[in-house]
Formats: sequence, C-alpha cells, structure tokens
Amino acid sequence: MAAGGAAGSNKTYSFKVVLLGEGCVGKTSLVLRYCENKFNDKHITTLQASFLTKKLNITGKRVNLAIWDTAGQERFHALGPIYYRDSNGAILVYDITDEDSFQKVKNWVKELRKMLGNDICLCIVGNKIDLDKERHVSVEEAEGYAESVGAKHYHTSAKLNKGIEELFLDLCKRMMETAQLEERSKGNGASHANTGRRGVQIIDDEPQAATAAAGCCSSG
Amino acid sequence: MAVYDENILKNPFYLALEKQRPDLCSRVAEVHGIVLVPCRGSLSGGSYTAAQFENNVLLPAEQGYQTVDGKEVSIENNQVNLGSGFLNSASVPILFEETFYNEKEQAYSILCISRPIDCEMWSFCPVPGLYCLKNVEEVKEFLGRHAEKLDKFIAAFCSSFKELDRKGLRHHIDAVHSLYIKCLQCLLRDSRLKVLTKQELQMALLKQAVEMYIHHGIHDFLFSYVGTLEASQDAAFNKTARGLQDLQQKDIGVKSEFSINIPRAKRELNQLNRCTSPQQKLLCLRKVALTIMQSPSRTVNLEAICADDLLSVILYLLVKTEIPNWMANLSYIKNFHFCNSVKDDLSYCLTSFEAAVEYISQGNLSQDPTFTTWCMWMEYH
Repeated sequence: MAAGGAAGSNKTYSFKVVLLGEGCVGKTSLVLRYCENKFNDKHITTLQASFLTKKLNITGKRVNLAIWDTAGQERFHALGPIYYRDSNGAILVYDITDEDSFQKVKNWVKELRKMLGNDICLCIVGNKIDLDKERHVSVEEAEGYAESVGAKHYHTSAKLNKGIEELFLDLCKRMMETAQLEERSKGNGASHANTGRRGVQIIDDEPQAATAAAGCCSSG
Repeated sequence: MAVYDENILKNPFYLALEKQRPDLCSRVAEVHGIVLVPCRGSLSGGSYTAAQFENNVLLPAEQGYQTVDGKEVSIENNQVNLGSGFLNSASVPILFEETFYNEKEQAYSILCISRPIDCEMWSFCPVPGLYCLKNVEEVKEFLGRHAEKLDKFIAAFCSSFKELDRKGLRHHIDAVHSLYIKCLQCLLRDSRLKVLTKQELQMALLKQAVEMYIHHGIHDFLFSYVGTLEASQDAAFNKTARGLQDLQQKDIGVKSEFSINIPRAKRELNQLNRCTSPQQKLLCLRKVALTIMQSPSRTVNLEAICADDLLSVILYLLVKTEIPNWMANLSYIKNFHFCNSVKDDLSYCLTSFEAAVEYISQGNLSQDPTFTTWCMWMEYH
C-alpha cells in the first residue's frame, strides 16, 4: 500500500521514513544534521525535529523524503503502529556505548517485521562512533545481527557529521529498488482493484478513504 | 500542501548548463557546491552566455560562496544575496533546495530561485508564490464563477442525503467521493481550466478547492452523521478525559519551556469545530502544533523538539480543551479527505493527535506504572 511512486522517469518518488530509538541515542541530532537547512535562519531557531523533509535527485530520479520522528519514551511504546504505518523505511538508532539501547533496537526490528513484513527497508544505526573508546556493542555483533534480519548496518557520528549522508543515500536507493519491484509486480496485472473508480485519469492520487476506511481508532 | 515545485531536469537553463558546460557540472559536484537555477517561469528562453552560466555556479569560499568567476555571494534567510563583484546588490528568494547526486555519488545542491540573479539580461516575471487554500473565502475566490456550477450537485446531494441515512459509513464515503469526482469532472470540461490545470500546482489547488467547497456545502449533514456514529466512543473518551482534569503539566511530562505557548495553542485548537472540511481541520491541527513548537524568543535556546515533546503537550491540550467529539473529528478527517498525502506535514500532525487520543482512551494517563518512573527520571536529569 505504501508504494513510493511510479517508476516512470517523470514521476517523483515519495518516501516516508520513521526514526526509532530511545531518547538519548541521538536520533534527533542525526536527522537535524542531515536536514540542516544552511540557508534559512528561521529553521535554526525553531529546531523542529519531529517532521523533516528533503528533496533529492539521485542520478536523475527525484525523491521526496519525509522523515518522521516517533515517540520513543517507553510509556508511548504501544503508539508505534500509529506512527510507522505506510512507511517505506525505518532508521533504528542505538548508542554504541549503551548496550540496552541496542536491545531496544532488536525489539523494534521484531515488531516492524511482524507488522509490516519485508516491504519496509530497515537500517540499524550505531551512533556516537566518536566515543569508540567507550563502545559496549561490538561491531561484529551489530553487523551480524543486522544481516540476520535483512537490515543494513551503519556507523555514524552526529557530532562529527560522519556516515549520515551515506546512510540516507543508501536507504533511498534501496527504497527506490523496492518501489520499482512493487511497480513491476503491479504491472503484471495483479491489482487494478484500487483503480476501478471513474475518472482515474484525472484523479491521480487514490482516495485515502478507499484504503484506510477501517481507520486506526478501532482499538480492538 | 501545494508548494512551488518543478523538475529541474526539465528546466531550460539547467539543461543548457549540463549540455554546454559539463566541466562546470563536474567541478561543482567535486567541491559540493551550489547551482542556482532560476525557476522555469522566469526564463525568457533563447540562449545563455558564458557569464550567465558562471554567475550561477557557486563554489564554497572562506566566507559564504563565490561564483566561478570570483564574485561573492552569501546565502541566508532563504535568500541569495549578491555581494562584491556584481554590478548591483540584490536579494533573490529561494523557492526550494534539492540535493543532486551524480553517477560518482558526489553531492551538490540545486537552489531553485524565483528569478535570474542578473535580471537585466533576462525578462522579469512575477514570483511564483507558495499556495495553499486556507478557508472557504479563499476557495470561493479561487473557483470564481465556476463555484455556481457545483452548487446544483451539492444541492442534489443534500436533498438525497436522507436516503443514505440507514446505510453504513462505507456508503457515505463512496457517495461523497463520487460527488467529488462529478464536480471535478464538471469543472475540467471548461477549456480554460483544463489548460490551467496542466500545471501540477494548479491541478492540486483545484482539487483542494473542489473538495473544500463540497465539504462546506454538506458539512452539516455529513458531520452530524459521523457524530452519531462515533457518539458512544466520544462519550467514553470524554469520561476518561474528565477524570484527568486535575493533572498538571508536569504530571503529563510537559517540559516547562512549552508552558508559555500552551494558552495560544489552546485558543487555536478551540477553532477545530468551526472548520467545515477535513483540510481545514488538518490546517487547524497543524497550527496548534506549530504554535506549540514556536520558540518563545530568539535568545532562548530551545533544544530540538522531538515527537515525545510534541506528544506530551498535545496530551495536556486534549485533557484541558473542551472538544467533546474527538472521535468524530478524527473519523471525518480520515475518511472524507480525498486529495491528501499520507506523507506530508499535515499527516504528521494528524498522526500526533491520533496517537494522543489513543493514549488517553487506553487509560494510560490515569494508571501508567512506567510513567511514574519516567517522571522520577525526568527530575533526576
């Protein structure tokens, strides 16, 4: 359902990426670093890090990236699905000096795979590599785990601005591949179910209602 | 939200630059520089001189940027400012930024600007604005005389609304959606509108206008229908919320720096039930979120505001604001909004409110064992 956009060269991919991780792992600094708007003073004074966007053009293909911060406090854990539905990618951040935060990432991975299957591209990110001396999560363990769950692992430092560009570029390329695959399988005739309305040629975006009628307030 | 956008890869100036000066393109990528691209509408066509290309390619310098031929340029406050070396000092607004990656995965920025920086050489065109229809007055102005054409469809819908009465939500969604399609198709038969809506932005605005106009016309019937559907859920929610009246900001985990914005955020939220369309309600929720996140003054250094902070303040607002029909509002917004995106900022605001409503209805605020520990943690830090 969360198809990122058409494969035609004129279309723009539109991806939603959720940011998951405990409060103190530095996920907001990470995303602020990436989306930092050098050209707008106002942006810097508000430092709004909960919803950020970025436009990319990767060798001729346009991508609109929306990065959603999710509520990370333990008390809000059950609200996760409300935030991550319809997302194309997830960035799961832990602090390499804090083993507990890595354990939390593992829990998130399990939940995301259970709820969203393999359609979502997962990135596991070990942040704060500037504090490598205090490392408590070994590189081998982290990378081995990531591989075992079909995720990619990255090392970053928001403080030194290391590894962040690479992380997002790589994630975008993976999401584009996933969207293209989905596009192709649709092309094979599997679904014209949701384009059956009249006037489809004018109404390019499908009505939300058609897919979301069940709503999410149904707490059962 | 409809904001100015264009495909830079189809912009005549950028295409000419790529074709005639591949050397400049690879140089700007190597140093992570910037290419200024005047928006499509501001270009007069014809060919470009070497100087024009060189003025628009910026390389990082010790202070700000320099054009390839050594003129100084600074960029701040969403504007490109021309410095020494240019004949006249001017400021040109930036419309959007796009980060380009070439085959070698080198990154450089494209800044799409509202007009060419050397205006005298190029024809002057009005700045494309940032557009969004905020209320019914703006919608009526946008539709102009076309609005009359929609009135008969809306009147017919209202008079037949009673027949829908005993049918379920699904039927109502389908009925309103087909009314929307009917109205849109009717307007697109007009040849002038048809030409205008070839531009993506205009098409997006037209859809928005039609939807808001319809919702305004049928709101009384439709919203009270949704209200009856959600009545028992709303009653349950209100009961839970009433039980939480005595909670203070710190009990809910609201950080003290947000207190100053709360009265204004409350006033904004009180407008929710005056809005007639899902779009307007979403704009209202967004205004609330923006008010919450507003930095009180330039000297106060707010830490980055994350989802947890926003959610805590929204929880407090839900408890302290008299909105008796949250479930109806959420259902109305989610089921009857046809031209929206699930990935934009409006959708993020909706999600934050949904999460807060869910949290309260689950009874988490009244009896949360982890919360007390969390409060202690907060005090400790």
